[in-house]
Amino acid sequence: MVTAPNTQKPRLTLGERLRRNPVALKELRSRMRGRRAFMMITLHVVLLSALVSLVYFAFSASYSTFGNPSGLQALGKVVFSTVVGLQLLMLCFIAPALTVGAISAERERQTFDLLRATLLSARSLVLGKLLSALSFTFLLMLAAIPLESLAFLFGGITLEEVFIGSVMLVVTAVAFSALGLFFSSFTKRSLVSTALANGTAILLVVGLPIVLFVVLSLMAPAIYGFGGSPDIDAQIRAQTIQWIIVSITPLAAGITTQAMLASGQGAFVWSMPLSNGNTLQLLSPWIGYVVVYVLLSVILIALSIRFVKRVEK
Amino acid sequence: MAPIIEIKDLTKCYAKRTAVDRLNLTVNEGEIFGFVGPNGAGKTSTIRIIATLLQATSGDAEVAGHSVRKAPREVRRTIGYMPDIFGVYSDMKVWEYLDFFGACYHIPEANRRRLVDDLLELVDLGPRREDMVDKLSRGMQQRLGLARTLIHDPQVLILDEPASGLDPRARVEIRELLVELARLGKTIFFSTHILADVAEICTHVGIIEAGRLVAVGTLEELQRGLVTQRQVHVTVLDRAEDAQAFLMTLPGVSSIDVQSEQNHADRSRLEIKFTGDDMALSAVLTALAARGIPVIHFSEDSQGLEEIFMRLTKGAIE
Repeated sequence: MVTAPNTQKPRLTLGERLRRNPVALKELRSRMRGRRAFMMITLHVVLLSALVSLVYFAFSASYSTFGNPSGLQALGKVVFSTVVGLQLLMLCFIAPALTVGAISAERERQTFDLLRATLLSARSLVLGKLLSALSFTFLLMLAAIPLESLAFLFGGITLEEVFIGSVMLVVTAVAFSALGLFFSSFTKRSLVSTALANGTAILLVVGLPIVLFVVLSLMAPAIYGFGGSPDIDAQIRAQTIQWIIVSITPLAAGITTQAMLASGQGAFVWSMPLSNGNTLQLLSPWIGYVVVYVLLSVILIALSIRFVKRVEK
Repeated sequence: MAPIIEIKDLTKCYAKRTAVDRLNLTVNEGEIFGFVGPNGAGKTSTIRIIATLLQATSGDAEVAGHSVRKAPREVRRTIGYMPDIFGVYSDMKVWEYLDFFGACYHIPEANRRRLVDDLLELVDLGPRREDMVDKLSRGMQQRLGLARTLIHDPQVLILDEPASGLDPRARVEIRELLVELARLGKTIFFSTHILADVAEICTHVGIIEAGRLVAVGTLEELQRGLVTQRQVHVTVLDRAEDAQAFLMTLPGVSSIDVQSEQNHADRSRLEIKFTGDDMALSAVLTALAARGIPVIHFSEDSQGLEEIFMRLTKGAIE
């Protein structure tokens, strides 16, 4: 009896993909060689611990938390938010730092031609670089879990918070790694791609809140109706702009979502009061954030593959 | 022999200059083809186009029947490419370097260990298996590069200046390795500006200048076609003046330059410009012997290629 050949590709786990992708394997091997990786993880954890300790002591000194269950829960929330917030902020700079040299350094070392002359596809090269950088980023995140767990000792953390926090961290890691990779894929020098990636990260983390502040200041007279009646349409426009900018700003999306959860709003809808008594209901910023950054990641990875595939003219 | 590389009307223009200008060239299976030209003549551009790394402005190149434009993947499968600069991964061991490139050619993991060991043996780097790549000498790195080009057992090796920047011993080693690889059935296409390498190992030569092929053929063909005067070197004992006077009477001899040898006062070296075929040249030696002149060395100088090169290239690019 003749059976049809099994043409379906076997589903591979992340570990198998890493093992089968020569670039990912090589990169991981190189990255974990020597003391550099160990030092980086140590530095990451020490820095996070120091900042969390600072917040812990500041909070416990200003609050009489001990022997007060709700105070303890508040402390738990603060510690958890600090760890996740700091990681989110650090990821915006660490994740691209691990990928900005991915392709440009191959060009600098004159190994890019060697790779392109083999049967290795542009897709495998780009994904291999991304996977290896991501696995190291995830290792850094894993190393910070004991610090997050500290929050669980105090209680007050909901499953929703843990889930949303984790999803945002993973999406941030992927998107900002893709950002570094993207700049690396078309620049000839890693210095240039580093500058571009850091510039973009600063723009997203710091620049967007400034833009929001400026826009809202300009719209303030209409929103609050100085010298007239408040304009509901302007309020809706302002709230929507605020929602868009908050949803694409890493730290702002996290903080706003956490504030919403703390104020008792659900995890999915952000209700904003209008001056006529109604509320404007929009999706929770973390959802917008996840959608935007997942899309951005896909686009950046596709563009990186395209740039790597391009034959020199 | 069937053609394995066919370059057809290949042109590569950059913004301000034409690097390769309607180049036509055929390399047959089993040849060691030396692609010779001054710096900036278009050698590297041609090689990078064949290696599918650079897009030609017009024309095409085929390797084993596969077009670099239409079937670059097939071309990559057929060729082993070595650029003029050895790309070093500073944080890799020698075996890891080869193993990595083996994986890039989809060679199954189970076969790679054996293959890597065999290749390291072939290029005489077996004992350096566990060393870091950047700790190897330039010559060793070049040999490792050559092993890398062989990892997927390609039919053709495309090598850009494989001997440049090497010390004399390393150069000889690379040369021997190339001859050994040709013996194993590989076609070797390499660019160089070291004419001694070409004269030593190439079966065929192509000379390029300003993007144009100015001559192609075997070394003998080029010599026959271009060098009208042969340069013959004769060393005699004591009777230099007698030999000089006698040689000038022989047909085909146009000029003689006599130099005494520094370490041997009794020896004189005569540089003779001679026009004639091999039979006529052999008659010169017979005549010298018949006259009783003690000849201890008689050879034709292999300076031919340099002369061909100087005649064909105008030295416009440097």
